Order: sequence, then C-alpha cells, then structure tokens
Amino acid sequence: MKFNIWTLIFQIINFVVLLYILRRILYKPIREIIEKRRGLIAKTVEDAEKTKIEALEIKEKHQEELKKLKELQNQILGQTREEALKDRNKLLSEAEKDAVKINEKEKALFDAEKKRIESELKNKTLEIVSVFASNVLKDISDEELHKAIFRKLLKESGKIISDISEIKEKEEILKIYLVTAYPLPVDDVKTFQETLESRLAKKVKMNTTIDKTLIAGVRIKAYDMIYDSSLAGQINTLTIKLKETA
Amino acid sequence: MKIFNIFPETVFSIGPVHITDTVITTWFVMVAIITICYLATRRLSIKPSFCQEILEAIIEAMEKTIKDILPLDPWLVVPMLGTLWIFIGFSNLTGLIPGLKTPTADLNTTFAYALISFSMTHVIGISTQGLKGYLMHYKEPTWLLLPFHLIAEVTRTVALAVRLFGNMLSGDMIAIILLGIVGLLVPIPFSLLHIIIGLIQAYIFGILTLVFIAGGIKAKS
Repeated sequence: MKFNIWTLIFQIINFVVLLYILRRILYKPIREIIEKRRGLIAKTVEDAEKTKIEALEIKEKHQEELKKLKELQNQILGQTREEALKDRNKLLSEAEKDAVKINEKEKALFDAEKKRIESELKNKTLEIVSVFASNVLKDISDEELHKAIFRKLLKESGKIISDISEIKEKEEILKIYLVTAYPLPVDDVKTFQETLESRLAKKVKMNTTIDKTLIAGVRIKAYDMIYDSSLAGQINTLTIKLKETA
Repeated sequence: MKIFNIFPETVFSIGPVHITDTVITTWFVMVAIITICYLATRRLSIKPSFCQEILEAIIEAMEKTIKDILPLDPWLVVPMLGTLWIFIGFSNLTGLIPGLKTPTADLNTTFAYALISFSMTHVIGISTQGLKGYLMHYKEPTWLLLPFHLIAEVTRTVALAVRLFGNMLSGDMIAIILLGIVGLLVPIPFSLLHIIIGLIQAYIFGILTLVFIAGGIKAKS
C-alpha cells in the first residue's frame, strides 16, 4: 500500500462533486416536497383545529341558546302557572261569592215561599175554622136563637140609634135595609121601626130581606153604616181579627 | 498473486498525475448514485410513489438522526452527512461485484473522507459560534487538557480513516482468501456479512462525524 496523494485529491474532488450534484438532484427537491407536505399537513391540522374550535363555539352557542330557551320556557311556564293560579283563585272566590249570593237568594226565596205557604196555611186553617164554626153554628142555631139575638138587638137599639143619629142626612126619609136569617114577626119589625122613628124624629122606611147565609141574627144597613149582629158576621169579624193578629 | 491483488494499482498516468483503479471505481459509483437519484427524483409529488416513499424515508431518517444529536437546524448538515453516508455505503458495497475493487479498501480514500469529516467539524463549529467561541472548547474543562484535545483531533481522524479502511480491506481479503482455499460457495455467507459490515461502517463513519460536530458545538452551552 503506497500513499498516493493523487488518489486522495481525486477522492476529495469526487466527494465535492457528488455533494454538489446530490444537493441539486436529491436534497433540494426532496426537502422541498417534504416541507410542502408538512406545511400542507400543518395547514390541514390547523384548519381541522379551527373547524373544531368553530364547531365547539357553535355548539357552546347552541347550548347557551338552548339554555336561554329553557329558562324562557320555565319563566313562561311559571308565569302561566302563576296566572292560572291567580285566575283559579279569582274564579274560586267569585264562585264562592256567587254561591253565597245564590244561597242568600235561594234562602230569601225559600223564606218568602215559606212565609207565603205559612200564611196560606194559616188562611186555609182560618177558612176551615170559620167554615167549621159556621157549620157548627148552622147546626145548632134555630129560629129561637135568631129571635133571642134580635131581641138582644132591640134591647141594645139605643146604641144603634145613637150611631145613626150622628149621620147628618138631610133626607127626610131614612132608608134602613134589614137583612134577616129567618123571617121576623111583623110586630117586631114594626116595633123596631117605631122605636127608630121616635128616637130620630124621622120617618123610617124599612126594607126587609131574608138571607139564610147569616145563620142567625140580623144585619142593619143605614147609609154607609152597617150594624151586624148576625152569627155569620160575628164569625167573619172573628176571622179577620185572627188574621190581623197572626 | 497478481490475479488476486486487492491493493490499488495505477491504471494510467497523465504527466505526474497517477489515476488508480480506486478513483475509476469511485467514478462508476458516483455515476450509479447520480443515475439512481436522478431517476428517483424525476417525478416528485405530494402523494409519493413507492420509490419516492423509500427515498423520503431515508432522507427523513437522516434528518431525524441529526436532529436528535445536533442542537442545530438539521438541514445545515443533512447534505454533507447524507452524501457521506450514501457515498461510503455504495463504495463499501462495490466489492461484491466481481472484478471491482472496494474504493474504501484504499487508505487514500478513507483518509480523504476523514479529512472531509475533520474539516466539516471545524467549519461548522466555527460558523455557528465564531472562531473564538469555537476555540474556547479546547480549554474545557482546563487549560491542562489542551494538548490532549489537540492529540485527539489528530488521532480520532486517523482512527476514522483506518477503521473504515481496515474493515473493508479485511472483508475483501477474507473473501479472496476463502475463495482461494475452499472454492465458490463458502464465501457467500461472508459476502452477506460483508454487506452488513459495509452498511454499518458507513453508518458509524457518519455518526462519529456527527458526534464530533456536536462535541464542537456543545462546548458553547
């Protein structure tokens, strides 16, 4: 093995030449393509990241909106519920008031009806009582009683006459309507007529009619004054009195 | 003995310039490398073909290796180191072709590469941190070690050259000796071993250069 300076020099030159050529045809293009790809990948990754971030942002936004919507929904629901509750309470109170009103009305109606029915009942009762009384009286009365009553009337004629005398009538003839249950003896009528004429100093014209409904006794009518001593009249008076008191 | 001469011979001379067969083989290797690279890089695209993928994988592997060791932009040394790796790798494998001599089995060749490695170390060291900054690393950790630093500069370069030369020459010698003793088929496993050794030696040469460069730079930090 000999040391050959020329081989050494040639090998160095060879290396430099190869380096220069490879730089041009190997390293530069390969490097460029690798860098290009890396750039592309980085850009793609960046884009993907960006897209991801955007997507996340959009998602967040959507969630926020959803949350807001839910809140709004809850709020509206709460409001509606509150309003419904208010309405319900209002309606309930109104209904209660109405019910009270209706109750009162019904009660008033009922009371009125009750009163009406009570009074009706009372009237009916009174009617029945009066009918019963008049029936009883009809059964027990006879001409004797009638006469007795008339006689009693005659005895008390003073009072009647004083009543009549208070009537200041200018007519000369006093018309007296005598209604009787049973036919009266003519004498009695006459006596009564004479008594009246003497007391009043007036001419008296008697107009006698028979009415069985009086049961017993007589009814005297002069002008607008009525003097009733009949049993029917008595019962009637009693009934009216009873009605007034009740 | 003339037939199996594994040492370089002068093929022709132009005046005082002796052209050995080593240099001629190297030219063939260069042509082969350039042809392959030219064909492989003719149509590069973002979506790589199979060929391009292999090429890119090799270049990226280099880039990554350099990046792991050197605290610099890897592309500052990728072309130099890559060429060193490729050149030595191809040269180491030429011995497998019958009739051709391994250029790296010539001490002159390996010395040439060692000198390139040596100068690369210093050029990159000086260019990244200045002459003064680069020279400072010789006094680390103390001035007393300066002579040893200087000796190391020489010895490691010589070792680099001799290591590659010795490995390749021994491989060639073993192949030829075995061929002479036992015949045709026996040297084949040794030839396979020679392929591995050739690639490993190329790798070691590059990595050591890289480590030397890194050593010159790391002194700064």
